[in-house]
Amino acid sequence: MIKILADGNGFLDKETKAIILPLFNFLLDWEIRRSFRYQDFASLLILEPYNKPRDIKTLTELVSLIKRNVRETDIIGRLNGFRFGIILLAADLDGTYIMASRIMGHINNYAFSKEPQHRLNISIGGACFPTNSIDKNTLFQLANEMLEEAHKRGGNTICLPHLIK
Amino acid sequence: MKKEIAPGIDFEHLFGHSQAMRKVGEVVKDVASTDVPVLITGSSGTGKNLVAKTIHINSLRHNRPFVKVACMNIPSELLESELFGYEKGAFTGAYQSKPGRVEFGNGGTLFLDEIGDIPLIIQGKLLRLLQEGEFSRLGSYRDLKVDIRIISATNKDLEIMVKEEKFREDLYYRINVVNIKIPPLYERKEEIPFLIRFFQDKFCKEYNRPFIKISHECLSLLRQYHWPGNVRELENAIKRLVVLGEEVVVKELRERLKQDFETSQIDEYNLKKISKKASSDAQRRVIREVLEKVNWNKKEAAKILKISYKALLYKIKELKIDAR
Repeated sequence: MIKILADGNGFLDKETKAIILPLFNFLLDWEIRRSFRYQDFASLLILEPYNKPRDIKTLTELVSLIKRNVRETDIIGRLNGFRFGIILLAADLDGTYIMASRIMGHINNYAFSKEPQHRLNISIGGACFPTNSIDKNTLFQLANEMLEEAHKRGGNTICLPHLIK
Repeated sequence: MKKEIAPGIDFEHLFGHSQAMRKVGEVVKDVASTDVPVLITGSSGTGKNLVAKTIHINSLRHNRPFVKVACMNIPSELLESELFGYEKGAFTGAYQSKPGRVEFGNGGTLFLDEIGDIPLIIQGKLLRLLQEGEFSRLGSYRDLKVDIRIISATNKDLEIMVKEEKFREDLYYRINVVNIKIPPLYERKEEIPFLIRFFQDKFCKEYNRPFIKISHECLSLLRQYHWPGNVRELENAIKRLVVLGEEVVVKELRERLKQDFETSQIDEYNLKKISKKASSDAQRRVIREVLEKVNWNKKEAAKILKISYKALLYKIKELKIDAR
């Protein structure tokens, strides 16, 4: 639904068909408010390839791969460059970790059509509302920090605040 | 302190109309900017909720959430899961994990209304939250850390509950770092005219009724009545007045005042004693009212009361009138 609306209004990234950053920000804010109202979890995952893809088509495939592993209601956006964000609705830290490992496993074993010999390694960082923060900006900042931590650890790593501690 | 606490109510509205509330307002100003736990006490309907909200919106956490938990409304079996959340499979029917109110209040203020109703088992968990800022969800092994300020309120005497072992002593001392006592409405009767105007205005707008001038008789009855249900009772009386008309409220108040008078007379038939008591009660009320009007300037109060300054001092001592 969001995709259809976003597509008609130019809110979809042309290369990957993921939602562009302003709409992603708006939806994150919206979902946090909704989760607050209904006393539920919502998690933010930020994902970036550790070894950069050589072809832009690989990114398109990467997004469709992520889509296949998350629920229909979850939201995928392109943050900048090779960095993507995923809003996982009603997912606590454990659920987020399971989801992140599933995405990572699938990407690691996938042969991308434009570069079949080249396996993509990704780093994933995340944070959960309300467990880690109830503020959108802090959540974003924390997820980014976790992603940097995952990069530091050599890629192919999932970093969530409770795992780091 | 100009921020709106509730629709149409700001700091001045809440604390600026009586000496007793002005004193409460000063304490609120002092504690708001700190992180100390506050215990608000006072009988039902005095405005404990509003005071808690005032502390929050004047604190450094004002742009963070103010999470209110009405402990008396939640069954004790559910209170723990409501406060601290639960993990999937923690009990029958827990099909998925759920965060508790404490998590939602992270960075902000948790207001525990009627804390005296919290069962002893949960009091222990609450103590840990206050001491270490840590808690765990029901059925979880993982400790979660939060930064939260706790404001509690109760209309019960927690000290007695501690003696009766119904409330944990250690928790009592933790939550009672600063105690704010809200005086009942009969101790701040000078607020009544303002409150009448405020509620009349509010309900006239709400029910789209014309603003009618209240008669002197009705006003005097509204001032005389001792309002055991405090501001909440007065609010409902004004709501009735706006919707059903003045006569209904006048009739009601007359009956109640008559009943009060009769019940106060039943156990005492000594006429001398009764008249002495009634006289000193009336004197105490009038002297207090005048003193509060003139901001406890005794010289001015003596002039209004048409007695000498010395006589006023004597009366204050004799009738045990003290500045609240």
